[in-house]
Amino acid sequence: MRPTIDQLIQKYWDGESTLAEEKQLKDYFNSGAVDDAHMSLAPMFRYYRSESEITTDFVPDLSFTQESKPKVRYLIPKIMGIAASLLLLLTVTYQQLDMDDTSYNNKYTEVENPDEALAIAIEALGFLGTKYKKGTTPMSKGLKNLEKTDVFNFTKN
Amino acid sequence: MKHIITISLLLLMAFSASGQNDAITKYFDQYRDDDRFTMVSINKKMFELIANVAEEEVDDEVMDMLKEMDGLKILTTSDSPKQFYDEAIAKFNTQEYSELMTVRDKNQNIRFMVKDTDGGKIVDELLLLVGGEEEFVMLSFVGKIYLNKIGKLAKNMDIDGIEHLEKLDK
Amino acid sequence: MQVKEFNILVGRLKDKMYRIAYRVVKNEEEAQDVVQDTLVKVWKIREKLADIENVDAYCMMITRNIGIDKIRSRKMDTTDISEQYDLKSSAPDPERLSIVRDELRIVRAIIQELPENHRTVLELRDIEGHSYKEIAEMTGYNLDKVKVYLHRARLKLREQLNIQVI
Repeated sequence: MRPTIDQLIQKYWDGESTLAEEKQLKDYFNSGAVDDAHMSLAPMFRYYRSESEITTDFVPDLSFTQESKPKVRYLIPKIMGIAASLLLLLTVTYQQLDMDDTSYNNKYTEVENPDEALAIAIEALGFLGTKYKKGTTPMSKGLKNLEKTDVFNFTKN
Repeated sequence: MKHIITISLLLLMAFSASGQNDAITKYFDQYRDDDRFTMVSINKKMFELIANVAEEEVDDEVMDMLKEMDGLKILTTSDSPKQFYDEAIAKFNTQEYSELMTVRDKNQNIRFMVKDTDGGKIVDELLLLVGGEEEFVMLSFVGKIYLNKIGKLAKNMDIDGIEHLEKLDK
Repeated sequence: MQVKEFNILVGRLKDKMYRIAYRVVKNEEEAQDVVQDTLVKVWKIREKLADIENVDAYCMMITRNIGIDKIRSRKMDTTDISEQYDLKSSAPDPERLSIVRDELRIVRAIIQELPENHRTVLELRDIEGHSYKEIAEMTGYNLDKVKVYLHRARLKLREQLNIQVI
């Protein structure tokens, strides 16, 4: 048996109504068919409904989702080789830059967006560091000794 | 608007200031309009700007390097990579650039060249020539490059085996 | 979470965030700031959202907290709350408007007089339709407290309405 409005109201005051029942009450009180006996409660339920329908014209600035910094992190795959990471990054950069500037057509880019520049620099330094490490680690002991003197003299002449 | 003007001015200044005549610039310029090459250049002023936009997202080691950098150029081609690699090796094997090491990694040869005026651990330019079967890539890092810091750049990268190597190191 | 999914989330939650923020800071401009700051924060932790059971409620918690921080960080404003409270709401039937407005104004004034924690729980439940569990998560009150606060708030509302309407 469906509870009557009176029963629902009682449950509401007792703190035993469910969300669905509360919605039912709001619907009822916002309908055109409210019993006179219930009229004193109508403002409350109408207030609830009208407050829940407030919207804002405010348009949030979502440009922060476009920054390339975090994206770079996800772009950086395992450093398999320069092809995979750098070229992908460069391609992405081009696609973004190409849209509104024809001067990039000759495939030469002077990076003018700090975020892009940072992304590329991080990628390049990561590549550099990885390869450098690879080159120095197996002989790290020897290299350390060398560094104490002068690491370059032996290649200079 | 103010920002745009400032940035444009900085860029303009940077552009006019970048008329260096070192070998690497010449080499890059040689292929600047060549369709087979993709080239990206980041100039000194841009590195100064970077220091401002970068925040907690960037690791300290990377940030340290970025602050000391004056330029980064990357040139890549997938057109006859072997030939361009050899050509570049020949071109930069001069008094000015000395070979630091060559790393063989999978099917790639990576030659590290440095230009350094006072023979210390800090070099003025570090040049990477990467020759593979598919690509030839040239990376030029200009600025104050601390060689002892470079290895640390790899620390946070996700590479199999690196942790292992670090343990061996100790 | 990708940009696209995030934009969907923004579309879904923006108004609700604004309402929640407004009820905390009671000022349109600051409420907008809160929404903006909340979205930045949500974006920053977007990778974690996958592990969150109830993303909407979680976002509302962040909204509320940022709103609370906002009022803590400013000097107490002594302007009459009920006067400031002048949100645009989608008007129902224009003919009934003025009567309804007066009615609603009375209800609003009564709710504003409730103790802060009672008011918060009442608004989250009866206006926004959140479950007790969600309200507990958003406010940090335990479930029993949420129920007690809500019950007291409703009873107070009934009492006041009886006085005002009669």
